Amino acid sequence: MNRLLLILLISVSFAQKIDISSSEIKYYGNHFLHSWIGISSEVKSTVIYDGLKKNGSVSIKVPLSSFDSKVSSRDSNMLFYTDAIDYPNVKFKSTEISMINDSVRIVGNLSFHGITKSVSTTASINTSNGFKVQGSFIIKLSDYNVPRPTFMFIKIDDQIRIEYTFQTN
Amino acid sequence: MKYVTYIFIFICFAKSQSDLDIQNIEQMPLHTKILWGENGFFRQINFGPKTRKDELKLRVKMLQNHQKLALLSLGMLAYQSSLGYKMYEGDYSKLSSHRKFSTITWSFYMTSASLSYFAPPAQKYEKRVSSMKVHRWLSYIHFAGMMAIPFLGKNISNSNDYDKALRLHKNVATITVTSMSLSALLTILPY
Repeated sequence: MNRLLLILLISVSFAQKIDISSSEIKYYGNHFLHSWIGISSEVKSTVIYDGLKKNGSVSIKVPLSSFDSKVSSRDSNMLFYTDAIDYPNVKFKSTEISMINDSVRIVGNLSFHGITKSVSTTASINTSNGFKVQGSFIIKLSDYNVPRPTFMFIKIDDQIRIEYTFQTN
Repeated sequence: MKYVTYIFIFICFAKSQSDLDIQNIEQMPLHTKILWGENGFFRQINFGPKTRKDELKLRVKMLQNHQKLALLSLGMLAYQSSLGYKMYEGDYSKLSSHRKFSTITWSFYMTSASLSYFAPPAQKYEKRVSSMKVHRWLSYIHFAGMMAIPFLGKNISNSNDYDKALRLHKNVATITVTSMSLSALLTILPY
């Protein structure tokens, strides 16, 4: 009995790695003629949560080649403009996590196209069916020195909205 | 230890390169396979950029110019059609303009088509049907039309059956313009 209590105490006291069963990252691109969504489910993530301190850390890595926008030539173009041969992955590592009621504020460094910039996002937490974290943030392609593709003489929008969903069962 | 480090760096490099291999290469269009496939013509004669990165750079440049020239060609083709219809209705005052302008239109179109057909392979291909795939299928129709139109045009004056030859030229031109217009419209669809 004492042994069981000790194990329970250790598991609550120390930070735990949360196994993510499914994750999805979407990017929303926009041009004056049309909008599109690129989706990747090949997200490698590590989530560590400390129940006592109510904080943790998140690190995410997603290969650019895994994004599917339903038009392969557009995906090819994206891989070219983002220099995916030299910078094949987008990475995120949190620096600060704070709980606010049913949501979590995450601040971290986003590395994309060889440039690392700080981003912050507030994610909602839904525990009704497993554990689901959902949120979004906006980045600017110009902040990451990514040239904007041109279509019909007009460039695509500089702002790209990123949406993420992580779920555990 | 030094060699272990080198081997490790090599493996990491090889891994990062293979991660960006062309996806669904088996779906590559036949014309691209013939030119840029593993044993493609350009590979055999050692023609083209040395690295995949430069190939992609060239591809994007070629396709952007293809886009501009194709729009211009479509505009010219529409103008040619209007001249052709006037002649079909009996106004032959535009015959020399129609003849002269046909060479320029044809040259612009063929340059545009070459930029697309000869472009190095994309980074990704897919099995499912998308707007860009239909765009390519339609290109086979208007390319065949553009190849035939000059001969059919010349054939009108040489033919024994003038009306039949004229109708054939007109119909092929109509199909060509329609398929090219649809092809252009498809590029603005999101999927």
